[in-house]
Amino acid sequence: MKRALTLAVVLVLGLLLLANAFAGGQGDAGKKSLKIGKIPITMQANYHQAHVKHLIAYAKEKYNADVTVIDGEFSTEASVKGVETFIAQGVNGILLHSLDEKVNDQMVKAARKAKIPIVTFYIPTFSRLVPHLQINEAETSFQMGKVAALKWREWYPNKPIKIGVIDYLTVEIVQKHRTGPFIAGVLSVDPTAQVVSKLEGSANVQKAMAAMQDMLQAHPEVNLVYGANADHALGALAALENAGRGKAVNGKCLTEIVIGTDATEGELAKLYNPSSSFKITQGLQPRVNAIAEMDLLYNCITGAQNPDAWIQIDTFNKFISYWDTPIEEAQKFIEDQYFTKLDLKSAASK
Amino acid sequence: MQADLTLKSGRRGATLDIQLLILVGILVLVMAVSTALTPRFLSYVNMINVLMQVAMIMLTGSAAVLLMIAGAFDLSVGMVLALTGVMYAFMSKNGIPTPLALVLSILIGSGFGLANGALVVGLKITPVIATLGTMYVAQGLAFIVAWIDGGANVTTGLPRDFEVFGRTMVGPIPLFLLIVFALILIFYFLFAKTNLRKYAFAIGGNQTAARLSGLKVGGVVLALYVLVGTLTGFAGMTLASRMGSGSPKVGTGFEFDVIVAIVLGGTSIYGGEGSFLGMILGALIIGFVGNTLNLLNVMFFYQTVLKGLILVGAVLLMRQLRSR
Repeated sequence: MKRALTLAVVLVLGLLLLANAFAGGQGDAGKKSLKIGKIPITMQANYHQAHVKHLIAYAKEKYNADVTVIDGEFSTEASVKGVETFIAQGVNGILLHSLDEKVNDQMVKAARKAKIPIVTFYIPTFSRLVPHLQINEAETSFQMGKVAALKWREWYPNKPIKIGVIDYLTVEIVQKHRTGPFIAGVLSVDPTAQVVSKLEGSANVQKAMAAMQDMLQAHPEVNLVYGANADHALGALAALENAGRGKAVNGKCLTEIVIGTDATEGELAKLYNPSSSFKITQGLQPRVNAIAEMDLLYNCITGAQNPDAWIQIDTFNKFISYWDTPIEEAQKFIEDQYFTKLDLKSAASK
Repeated sequence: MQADLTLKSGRRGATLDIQLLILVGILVLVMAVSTALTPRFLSYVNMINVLMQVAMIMLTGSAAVLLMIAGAFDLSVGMVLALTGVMYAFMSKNGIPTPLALVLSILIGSGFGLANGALVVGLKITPVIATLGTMYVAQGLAFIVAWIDGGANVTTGLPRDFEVFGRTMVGPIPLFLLIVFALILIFYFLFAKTNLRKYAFAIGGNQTAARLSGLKVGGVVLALYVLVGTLTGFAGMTLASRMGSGSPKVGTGFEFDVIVAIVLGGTSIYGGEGSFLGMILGALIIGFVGNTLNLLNVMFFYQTVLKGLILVGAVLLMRQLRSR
């Protein structure tokens, strides 16, 4: 009985292997689709979910490419495993968004050793090994700081600017592309502005809220509140609202201006509410970035772009402010970029 | 034959009193140093802030301390906190009246508690593995629900009364804080005056002896898991109401905050001994230390180092006391 069972299992396995070999052969008769591996830094954020969705659709439509996604889980270990998995699968190309430049070097070298083109996104290789797509957030961050400072000076010229930041201290590139340029933008308008507090938000709205509560206690004079991502900004706003602040009258902020990053639905609903002090953000553009990323990788696959040469392609975020960006424009932005069905006017009026 | 369920020998009871005194001393010291370092520490608003920040830890800890005394623990509380908050937001947004959504989200927490209890008691899976498993399940579900909603959070389209529970004030005190403290008092009463405490100690002290004495060990542990889950569900719902959104990312590390408060308060991770008041003091110590460091703008990384040092230091001190 046991022998018969073993024989049956071996037979089935053998048949499966044969079938797999033949299936590959039959597939060659038609045009073979490209296999692309994508490692987003995390799938736990609106932006990255939308980015992947756009990528999958665009890759299929434009290049007949099938995209497989392995979540980077905000961990270098998960990203490394993802790259190793894609190498083992023999994909045609890899799109990598991981945390650490130096670890990126190792992952990229492994992929290139396997002759697989690989493009990095947002965080490059330390040694500048392969083509890279970069969101130039510094410009928009600077602009946000400048506009916030100008508005505050316009409304309250006698109140010195005091900046509070709910930051992302564990991610170096956020300092370089977001927080640093934001502060520089404020200082470009008012060199006497001071950063009174910088606390960690850990990309967690609850922790951001707790940090902001403490900041308000230590520095109630804070009047420009910057959140390095949407969770930080919304957590800070929740703390302000709990403290009886966070208010505006017809878009004129009463006690502080809150500035965010990401332009999620939650942020924009607050931003366009004339009674909320959340008034500025920058919108990451997942559709734009996904298209640019895929185009760059395809060029590497076809040889139009040298896969071993450093080149940086920049994309930009969308500056959004209550005073400068009509709500219709923001509505179109979130529909195009984030697949949303949200009626921004209705959400902002609540 | 009913075993003698007297809980503490005179020596053990005296040790516990000393531990509590030490904790009170540490708390007073922390507050004194904080007051000296920053004038904004000793203010009504700051005290309320800290209480709001540790309230959820103390609430979940109220039942979790009993669970740990009984020799078990629950690693899923952080993710159950997140899931119940997300579910509260999702249900409120999708037509379920907010008060009903509030109750249902608490019951979801109870459901997870029941699942944990069933896995540990019924299927005899060790608490670490069982609650680690449910932790992952809860985390995944929280993200799935948010994704079904259309993103990574449930933030927009919430009814106006969603934030009522979390943000209503009764005079100068937040309503939710009053309710949380009432619940904690109820649990203190359960701890101090009912047989539940005795049973937990008996089970944690010697499970076999407790069983042989006629105690329904499985039933008690199951009940404790359900209580932990229920309180966590309440905490998750409250947090979502305060934040005005349901986020799957809240609760990260919450299970360790609860365990730290409990262990700092003198409860043994092996079971058999512990203190409810110690848990409260432990939560307050960690809360005030974190608060002071934020007020002083101390970098986050130093805060986590200090948290670890305080925990290890306190445990070493308690062990010294026990060995005397």
